[in-house]
Amino acid sequence: MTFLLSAEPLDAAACRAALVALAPPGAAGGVVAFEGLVRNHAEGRSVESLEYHAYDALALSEGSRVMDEARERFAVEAVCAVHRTGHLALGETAVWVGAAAAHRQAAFDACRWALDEVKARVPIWKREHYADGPAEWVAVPRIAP
Amino acid sequence: MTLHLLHFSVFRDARGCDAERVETDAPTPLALCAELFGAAVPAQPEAWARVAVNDAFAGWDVRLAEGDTVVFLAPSAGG
Repeated sequence: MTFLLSAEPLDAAACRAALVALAPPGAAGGVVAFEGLVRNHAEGRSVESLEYHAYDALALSEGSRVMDEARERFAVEAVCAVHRTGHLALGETAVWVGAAAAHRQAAFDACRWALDEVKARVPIWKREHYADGPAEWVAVPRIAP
Repeated sequence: MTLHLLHFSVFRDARGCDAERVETDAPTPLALCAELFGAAVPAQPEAWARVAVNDAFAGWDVRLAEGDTVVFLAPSAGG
């Protein structure tokens, strides 16, 4: 699997090892990885924690599709990503995306493109818990109950 | 017909549950969305949300069938 969801804290070393294992032995000359962390502020508000909820079946298939497309678009040997679900504390890793390639430019480009596509396309939703008010879903319109 | 619904994000908050089974004559996801959420949903959901049928992205005007699983998808916010 090139795209996974995890309810447990992410281990960056394990993610990197999994990425390298996806590449043909000896083919990768470099690895670029991005780790998204839970930060303590958003849009001027103090954030205390985050929740990520995923529609698992579609998130896994669409996330894997993004990784497949990244391999087709860029000269990379492997691309993979893991996204957290559940309630995360400040500083925890929310998402890990990595690309391995013969040359660095393709790895940088593929990593950035894959992250952007995951954020835009994979059905995962973020709920921010604020210090000064009730938690809210991010980037979605309000629906009256 | 009977449809299975899974709810996430603001749609879950609006329905107050993660999943439910509904009896409906709504022929399409667009009609079903109007039936379930009515004026509570911003106009033209097809302009700001997506829909999935049986674990795959689908069009808002696809014909629903007995036993389908339908999920309304608010804009993603991963990462």
